[in-house]
Amino acid sequence: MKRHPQIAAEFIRDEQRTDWHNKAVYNFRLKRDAMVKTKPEWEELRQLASDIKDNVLANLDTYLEQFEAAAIANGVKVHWAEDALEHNNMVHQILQQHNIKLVVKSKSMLTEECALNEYLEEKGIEIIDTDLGERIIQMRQEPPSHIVAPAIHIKREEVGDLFREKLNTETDNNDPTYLTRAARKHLREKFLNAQAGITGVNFAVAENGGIVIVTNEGNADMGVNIPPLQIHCMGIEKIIPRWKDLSIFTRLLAPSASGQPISIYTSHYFKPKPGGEMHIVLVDNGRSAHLGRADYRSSLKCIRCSACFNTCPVYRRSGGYSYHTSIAGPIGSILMPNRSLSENADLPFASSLCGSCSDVCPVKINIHEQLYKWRQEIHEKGFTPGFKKRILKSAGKVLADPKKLNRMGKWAGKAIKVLPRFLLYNSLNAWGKNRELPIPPKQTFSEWYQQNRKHE
Amino acid sequence: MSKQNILTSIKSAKPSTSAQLPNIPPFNPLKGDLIEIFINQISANAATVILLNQEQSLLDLITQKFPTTKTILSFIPEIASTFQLSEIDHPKQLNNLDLAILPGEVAVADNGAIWVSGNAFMPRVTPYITQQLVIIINRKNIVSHMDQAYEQINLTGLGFGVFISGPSKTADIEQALVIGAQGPLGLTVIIK
Ligand code: SF4
Repeated sequence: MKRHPQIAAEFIRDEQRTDWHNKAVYNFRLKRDAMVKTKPEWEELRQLASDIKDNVLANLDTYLEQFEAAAIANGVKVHWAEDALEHNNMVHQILQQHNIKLVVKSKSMLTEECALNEYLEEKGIEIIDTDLGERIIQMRQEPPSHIVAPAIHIKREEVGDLFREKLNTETDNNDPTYLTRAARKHLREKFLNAQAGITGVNFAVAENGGIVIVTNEGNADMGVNIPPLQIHCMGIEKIIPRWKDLSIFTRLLAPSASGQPISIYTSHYFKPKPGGEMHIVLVDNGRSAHLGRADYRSSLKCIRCSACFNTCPVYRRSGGYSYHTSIAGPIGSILMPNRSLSENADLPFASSLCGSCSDVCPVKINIHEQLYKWRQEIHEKGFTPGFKKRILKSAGKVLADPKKLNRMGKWAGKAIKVLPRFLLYNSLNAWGKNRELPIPPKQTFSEWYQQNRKHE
Repeated sequence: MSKQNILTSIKSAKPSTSAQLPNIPPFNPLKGDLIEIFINQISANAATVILLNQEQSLLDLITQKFPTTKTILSFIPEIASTFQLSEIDHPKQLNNLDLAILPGEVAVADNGAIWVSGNAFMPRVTPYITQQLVIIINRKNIVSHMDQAYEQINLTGLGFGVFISGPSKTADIEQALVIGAQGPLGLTVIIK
């Protein structure tokens, strides 16, 4: 299996595209910053959200039972699934009982994590993703590369080509409005004929059994409100205690994600529609195990806003696929090693540890510290990826010896100036890949210090 | 069975010290005219806002604004629907709906969101499937922040409700903003 460094190396080979991707993703960060600046209570909101989520994690079992009881009282059918397979099985059973052949689904990272689409397709059920970005990647038979903007890595010309092939759109017309209208027509037909709608869940309220789904396109609501049957799949950590807690999270989510004050639709479902059926599937799939790891537990507070992706210099220049998991980016690099350390030991190293992720996180997860913690644990357990091992060994020797470090610093400063390019930008120097090395200062810091101290 | 396993597993994994659930303090009301702030926010999402003046009737306004509209489904007393809901036996028959008119319960100046409550008569797909959506709100029901809005919502017997802050939109193709994704192509907000 290819690891982050290899996949990232392939990604950055196309320099123009890397730049384009970097700018496209960073644009979200800029919009976020502009919006946040208009909110004087921003830090207070973050603290409240963080405290509420801490309380949730400390009482998760109680809140889940409270939620279940309230939802059942509302006439909702609640199911519990320990892992992905049980979840997929359950959803399939519900669909089978109603003899369903066509399902529409809105964006849900959980069903992505469980590979629900593949499972249902194998059983002969057609499942259509209805978020425009998701429909695009579904047609291309690709996974999402970003949790909020799944098709961020695709250019308009490529969407144009795809729609010409699949939806018979006009030659050479790559206008986003034109292409969106074509998709709208195509998806309308699916919405009208679907026999069930599946969605993810952004928040679930323990005290009244309601669930909240946030979209801009209205696709989740088109999906669940035409057919009688609606199914909502959620990770157990999506619970929040009180109705009024929503007033905090709805003020943080959209600004953090895309710099909008709020998404277009924040829909709240409590009861099945008259004559309909509403199911909620609560999924563990490794979450309770993750809760037991004190160092990483707070990453379960994540509300999947993607702010940490958009600010991450590594994600922006290596693309979502380089993380080879359903959730990429800084937060994915904490969550995924919990699933399988041997398969995901490379991910905590896909970070510069600059800490920008922790600064933007609306629920105040100490993301970069947890990544650093994983690195130590990975090293202790002997999972350190091969390429890092070699670097760390020699770095260890140098860093442990101040004299050596001094000599190396001086040497490196001079070397950058005098060495030929082929020696600096070769395959052994990862920092020389697709980036220019900085112009070295005339002196090392200790040289400067020695010299200037004398003047005191 | 799975339920018990999950709960047992959480019990043994969760932190032993219980973090307190914080009180949510009342946030300072926005400075300035709430109606104006609200209009600015929701207009930024490509909604059209009309302030109804005293001489004008809602009916006149709607006829003026949507002169060629054929099918209307209205849930406000001043305006009649062009068909009976009893003629509909599946929500998908609303696919040709040109205009839906709904009452908004409370509106939030800070972000331009309007709460619309579902009711037993309205097919839930109405605000999403219609080509054009009109929401009528009372200027007295515009609040500063989300916490006030959530507090005002009447939850008794409620099956479904939604905050709407504009016409449906997407930016999934190269982040180019397109108004009118899977839901309405336009939203008009009338403030009484
Ligand atoms: S970790 Fe924080 S910033 Fe990253 S997606 Fe989750 S909530 Fe957003």
